[in-house]
Amino acid sequence: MTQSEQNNNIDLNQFNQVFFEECAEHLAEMEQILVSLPDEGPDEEQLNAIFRAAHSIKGGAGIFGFKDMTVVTHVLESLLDRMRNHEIHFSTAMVDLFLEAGDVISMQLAGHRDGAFVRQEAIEQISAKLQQVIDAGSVVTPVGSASAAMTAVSEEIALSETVASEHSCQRYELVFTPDPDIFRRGIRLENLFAELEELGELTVTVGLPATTDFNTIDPEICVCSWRMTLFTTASEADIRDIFEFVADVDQLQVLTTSENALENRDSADSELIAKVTLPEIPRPEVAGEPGADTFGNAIGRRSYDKNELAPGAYGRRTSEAESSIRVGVTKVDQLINQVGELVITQLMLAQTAAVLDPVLHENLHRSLLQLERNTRDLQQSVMSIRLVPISIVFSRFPRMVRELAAKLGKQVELKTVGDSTELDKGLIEKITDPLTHLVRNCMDHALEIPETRIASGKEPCGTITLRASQVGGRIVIDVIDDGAGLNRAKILAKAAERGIPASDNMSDEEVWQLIFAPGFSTAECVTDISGRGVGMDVVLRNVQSMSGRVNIASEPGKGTRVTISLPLTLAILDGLSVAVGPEKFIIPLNSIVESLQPAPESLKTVNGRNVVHVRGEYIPIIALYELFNMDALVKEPGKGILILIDVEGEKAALLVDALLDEHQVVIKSIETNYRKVEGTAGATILGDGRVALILDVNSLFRMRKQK
Amino acid sequence: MNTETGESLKTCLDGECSMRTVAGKYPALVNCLARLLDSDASDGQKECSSNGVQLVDLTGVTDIDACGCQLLALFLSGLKQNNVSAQLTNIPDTIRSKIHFLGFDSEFNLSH
Repeated sequence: MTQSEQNNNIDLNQFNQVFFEECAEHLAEMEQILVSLPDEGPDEEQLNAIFRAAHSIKGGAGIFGFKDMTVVTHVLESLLDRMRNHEIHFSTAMVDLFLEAGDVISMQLAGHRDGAFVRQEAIEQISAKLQQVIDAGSVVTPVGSASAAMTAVSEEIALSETVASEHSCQRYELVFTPDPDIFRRGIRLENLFAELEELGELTVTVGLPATTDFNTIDPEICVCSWRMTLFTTASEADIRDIFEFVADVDQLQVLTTSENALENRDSADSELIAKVTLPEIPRPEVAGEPGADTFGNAIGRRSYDKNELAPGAYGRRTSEAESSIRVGVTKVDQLINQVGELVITQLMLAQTAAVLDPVLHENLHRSLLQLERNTRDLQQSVMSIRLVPISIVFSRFPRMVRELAAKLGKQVELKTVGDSTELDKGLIEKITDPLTHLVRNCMDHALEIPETRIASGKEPCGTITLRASQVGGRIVIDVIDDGAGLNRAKILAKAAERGIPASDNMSDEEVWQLIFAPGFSTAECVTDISGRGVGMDVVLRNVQSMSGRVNIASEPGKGTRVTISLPLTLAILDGLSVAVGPEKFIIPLNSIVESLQPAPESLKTVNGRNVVHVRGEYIPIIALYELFNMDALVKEPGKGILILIDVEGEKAALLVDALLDEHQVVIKSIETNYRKVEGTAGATILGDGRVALILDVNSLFRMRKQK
Repeated sequence: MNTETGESLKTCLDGECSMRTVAGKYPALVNCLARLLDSDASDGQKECSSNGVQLVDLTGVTDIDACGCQLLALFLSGLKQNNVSAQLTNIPDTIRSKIHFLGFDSEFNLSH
């Protein structure tokens, strides 16, 4: 069994997950720095940050047993280290090389995390490329430097390193007193020691507490310390780097005990060891202490989570490091579900108490009101746990824009506004693809090449702005470009060509909506970036599936703004409960325009279908009892209530028996608990304990058309 | 894990002795320690090998890590605190080299 396989067992999965997440963060950080580098190259801090990201990945991979992931990171780290030491100079070509290396490491990460296919040749190729740069001294030498001179310098450095190494082999005494929870974190000390052994000659001695009551120990808690003697030419920093993932600074003492230790090693041995005594480091009470909480640390966390100044801490916000913990989404969802149940129970209590005399039961009513407030507060707090910043999505675009701009010969600046705007994690995952498509469209179709822009009196560099904000109970995301704008005449012509109903009398807003028709594209040539006519309809469909809306505003020559509006969360919904026969339905409030009792003269029949005339518009009537094959008290539109709904400009009037109440309902999956019911988006449990179906108004339109 | 009685009382460990398994092995070792000490109290003498050393047989141990070594070391230490001398025996080569690599040689009185 390989180390990786051993680490993949159930017990270690939770620890591996921490590595996977942190590795992904390091990769994202590295990419973020790389794509934002100025032409003259990274400054010292940026270079150090990239180096530390690569180094942290390598260190973590080694400790967690993913040895294959140390291959690329090792060469990358070596190259970056040489750059830090000014032995190799930066060139713009290196950015692509480093990005490619990051991609390969991501691929390996996905391989371990998701079981994704890993292309070994890609690993070999990028390692070879990086090594080539190291061997050559530089891919692109600085201006005025000849490669021969570079080689000579490299040889000189190599020679001086050899000479230095012969004379600077040192003896280090290390005293390592690990976290008591080191075993539980899945860290295998043999891997750690093996890494140390790669640096030189290593001897290890363990130290145990003088007295321990074996009957009361926790066998998974580490009570040992280790003393190590290492002969090496490596620096103290190199040694500390190995412990980066497993030890706080104060958990590792490094004593340099001799210069030129190679010569003196034998004679000094006993004397030096005698000088080093295991320190008195406070240990937890071994007897019966239960796990990581005792020590105030979450299992699986690293030293730099506790110490912002520790190696590898760069880029972590102090507040986050000090006050955040990782919690699985499943646990959060479970919590949300339980709070949902609590809300339902509270509603039931309220409904039961509603019939009780408010004077006789004043205290009960007051307490129930307090319970309602507390329950709502709790629900909001719990819902906010699922909210994550949209920067998670925005951060993927700088690189995409950079690469597409190079491919298309365009100059593009990407601006992001409102990166910290938060929305539901589930929405974040679903919004990524639509946004990606919109940005690609901007790059490919909207923004002009520099020559065209200059001819139009614009700056040669176009701008794409991604802007997120919270407006009321919704999140609004704008994708704005300063390109050519939509071409009304072209869109109308294309619509006519494709048989899509359109006319010259349509307003601009209506014309822009035509681009969401399936298969619609005005692109003159199909590219591999966009323009195949599949996309905008998918964008619309995806956004609508999140109960969202898409609007377009465009001005010729000035640009286009696509606005996506989404609900804050998918787990709760503001709805209106209505009665149809014995059943209750919930209609999402965001789709309701108004409700009315129609006057007899406003009701008409067109092509055998009932319609209602509202302010000059004939709106089709959808009788819910017909759609769901139910008995209803009211079957005549003139005797019931019509609820006007509007989804992306499509309108209908739902015929119901009565309006009941406005609710904030907890959405339950009907598919999970029963089966898919057409025309519904889920179900909820009402205060009286009954189940009410939540209507999916989009699919109501579809059902009506099918009938 | 089991104990054998006969001329001497031998403690046998088997299987993987690591972070994954120490929680399972620990209660048996606690029982074993208790029995050894009980026998000490009742008989007035220790059940041990002919040279007076309690043997811990590692023949069946397939793997060991630092956590497993620590458990074993604490067990031996527990015996020692109660004046019972103990010695590991029949250590497979791979296990011996891991013990050495992890620095437990001196705790287990092994020479390498």
